[in-house]
Amino acid sequence: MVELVAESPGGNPPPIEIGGARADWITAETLLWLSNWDDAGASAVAEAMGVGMPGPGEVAEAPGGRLAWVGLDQALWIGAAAAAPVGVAAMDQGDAWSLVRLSGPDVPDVLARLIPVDPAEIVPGRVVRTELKHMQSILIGCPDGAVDVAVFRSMAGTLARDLEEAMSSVAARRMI
Amino acid sequence: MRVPCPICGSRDSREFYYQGAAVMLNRPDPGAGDGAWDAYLHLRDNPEGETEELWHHSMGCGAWIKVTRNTVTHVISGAVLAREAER
Ligand SMILES: [Zn+2]
Repeated sequence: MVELVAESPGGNPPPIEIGGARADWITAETLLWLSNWDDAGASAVAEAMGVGMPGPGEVAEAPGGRLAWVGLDQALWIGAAAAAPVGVAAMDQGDAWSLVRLSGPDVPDVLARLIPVDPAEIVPGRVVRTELKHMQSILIGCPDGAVDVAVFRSMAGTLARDLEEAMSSVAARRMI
Repeated sequence: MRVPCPICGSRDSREFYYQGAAVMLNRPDPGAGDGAWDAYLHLRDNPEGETEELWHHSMGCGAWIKVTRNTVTHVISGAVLAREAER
């Protein structure tokens, strides 16, 4: 039997580790984009995912994954396979976003070179939508100072280059 | 320049697309006549002072917002979601 290996949309580039920051491409079994829900839809989501709809900037931790606010009246399920709840416009975007986990003590300095939002705002339970270089991005706070970064899959290569450049710059400053 | 998004809070203006005068929220009746439609589509005031305009938080939450900005000082004195703005 062929063993199928989950691949991050945009491929599985090797991790980047420069100075005190590291970027690993990660996979999620399911990315389900939710919008246009009514009260019944929100209840269906709570039943299917085990969490309520997140408010602006919030990420709800669920048994099988995370439900992140990603825009005005929009949320993104990142986690285990989930049936699309009734009463919600749900779109499978599993191939649409590239996910990268940034970790290490230099993460705030690296992000400060890439986004116009204070990286200190991106803590566990919080999500920020902002411009990363020139890309629309989703930044989700994770434990131990890590941040999950999502950009459109078509820009995965650009994200890798931008991260590498920012990480190199921060590491170079450390050597002065 | 900082723009206060009612959803995301104070953000750098680079995250926004600037649409123009907020008169676009007040669409005339389809039968209002050529004069009303011409004014709606093409005629704009060029105020010195406070003006209301539409910005789109295109790099952020995706909301259209109605911003009150002073064209002399660039002071932004208010912002509301376009869908909640008075028409
Ligand atoms: Zn916003």
